[in-house]
Amino acid sequence: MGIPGEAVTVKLLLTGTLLFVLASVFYFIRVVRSRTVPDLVLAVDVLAYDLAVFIIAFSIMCKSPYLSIGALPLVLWAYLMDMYVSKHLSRRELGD
Amino acid sequence: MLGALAYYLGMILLIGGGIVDVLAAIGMNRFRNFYLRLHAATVGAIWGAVYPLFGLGLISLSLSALGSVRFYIAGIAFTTAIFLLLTAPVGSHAIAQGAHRSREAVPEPIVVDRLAEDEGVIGGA
Amino acid sequence: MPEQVYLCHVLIALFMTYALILTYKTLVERDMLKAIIYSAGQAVAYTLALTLLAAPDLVLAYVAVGVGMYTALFLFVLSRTERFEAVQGGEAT
Repeated sequence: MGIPGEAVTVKLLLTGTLLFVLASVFYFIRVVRSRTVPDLVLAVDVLAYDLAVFIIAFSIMCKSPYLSIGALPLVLWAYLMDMYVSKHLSRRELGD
Repeated sequence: MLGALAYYLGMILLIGGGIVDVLAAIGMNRFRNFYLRLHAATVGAIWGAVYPLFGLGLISLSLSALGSVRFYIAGIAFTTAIFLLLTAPVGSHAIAQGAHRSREAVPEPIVVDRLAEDEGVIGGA
Repeated sequence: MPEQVYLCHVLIALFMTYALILTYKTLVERDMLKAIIYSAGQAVAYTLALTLLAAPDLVLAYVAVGVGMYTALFLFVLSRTERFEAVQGGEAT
């Protein structure tokens, strides 16, 4: 039981990646349809987490390590946006 | 042998995580208020992002055709997965607290709300 | 592989469409807080388009400015002013 060839690997990776793109379409519909602010922040957050997976899969398919750098700042800045907005919602001001 | 194990485990994690992520995205559209959507969002963050990132790291470690590039991609994938595992629950809890404090979303199927009672006591005193 | 190049173009078009729709929503939104978060979503969509265009240096700058600094700065400004846009004389603009 060995590792299959490159064509099969690319097809499997492509299948997984297209599942994530399909999920991002539904998350985007949620972003557009959302009425209140916490809904919107939650949908943008999960959209960013979803697309970080897509960045890493794309960099494996392109065999380039430089393309995968964007995933880590995307996740961390999305988390910071969470904290900013929740602080603004709960205290009506930013800062301490 | 170990490489093949990592490869198949990673593929299972990637494609299974993709299916769960699509289900969570459908749930984000079908659930009817914010606190129910929070459940779908956290399922989409852990099952739909952390496990596929670990799977992608294992896949890139097992692909010997990538050369030394695979260690870079695996390192970034594992680091992103660990940071996401630490930060995503904290972020969703913070958003839930902000939504409850600012009365933006009403908790609708509810029996008892201790947080609102606590806030009322603190605000009244 | 021509199929992969073609799929890449389709994905760039998809993420640019996300960015276009979110920019339009940012422009017509009356609630400032929602407009700021729509703009952050537009930055996320642009990040993916720039990754597909193989520009990771631009991705680093765009994520830090578009999702992080822009949101923090405008929320700081918003806490000093009013959240909803005032309607002049009751007419819808």
